[in-house]
Amino acid sequence: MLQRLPLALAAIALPLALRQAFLVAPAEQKMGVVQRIFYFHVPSAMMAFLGVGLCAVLSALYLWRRDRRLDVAAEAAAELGVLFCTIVLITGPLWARPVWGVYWTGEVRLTSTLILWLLFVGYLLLRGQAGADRDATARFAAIVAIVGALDVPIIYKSVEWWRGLHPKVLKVSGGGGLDPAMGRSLLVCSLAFLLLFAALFLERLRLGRLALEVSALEDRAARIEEGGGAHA
Amino acid sequence: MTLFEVASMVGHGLAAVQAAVPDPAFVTGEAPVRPDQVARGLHFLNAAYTAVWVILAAYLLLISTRQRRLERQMQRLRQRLGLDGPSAPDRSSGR
Repeated sequence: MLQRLPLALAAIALPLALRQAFLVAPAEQKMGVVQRIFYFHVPSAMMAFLGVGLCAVLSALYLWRRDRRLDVAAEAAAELGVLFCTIVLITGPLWARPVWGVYWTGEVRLTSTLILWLLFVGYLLLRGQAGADRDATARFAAIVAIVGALDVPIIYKSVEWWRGLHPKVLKVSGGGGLDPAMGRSLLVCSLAFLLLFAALFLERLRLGRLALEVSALEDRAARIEEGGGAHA
Repeated sequence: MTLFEVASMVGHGLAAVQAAVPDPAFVTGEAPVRPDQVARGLHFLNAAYTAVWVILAAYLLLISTRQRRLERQMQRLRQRLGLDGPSAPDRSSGR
């Protein structure tokens, strides 16, 4: 029961975030009601960065310590990174269409986010294709994760480095910033998403550990059968 | 024009750029929009939030399916290895 507590907390926090996004946050003058996508779009992007960043850190630790539990945790973080990045890549175009007039443009932030998603989908596919040498696959995947995570600062800084269509939500040297009431709503939604991330990460970690146990039992069964075959 | 005057002009220019108040990301306030624009905005808003819930629900379903499959696999393996007590089949009989 205690294991499901984070998930239960997230289930309470998400309706509160919805209330904040729809009922508490002030209306936006230029975009109107569609701007409320922002309250789930931006926290999703934050969680995507968190997932990818966590994956890179855990991957680096795996390369150092060679502990398979770290590798399992890195895979779990990458999966959540992809999940939240998918949400960003779907909600973003749905917000862009009525505001920019197009679903997609070649803007740097959009393109670099798509590249991040492709990199980590590739990472997960690589993990799924693991052959006999699991350690070699894990090492290669760890390097891919570390290199892939370098895209995160590019995405974050892209609105400063290149002029794009994305609004500068955080205060940067070139302007931007949020109305305090919008900032508070964004904070509530971000905290709810953080809780959701933590809950999903724990669930996914449990699944990874179970897979590790199954893999160990399979190895043991194979060794016993090989031994039995040799005796026969 | 002296070097001092040029430097002064550059300095004033830079100060003007720094002092310019940039646009905020969003402007709060009720927008004087047409009803069809509101309906269109609601359509996209609805689609975006539906997508979020569908993706999250699909992921939770995927996790629980994988968990059930792994638990079944683990149980089978434990039985094969004789780790599950008296109900475990005789290992010498093969799979």
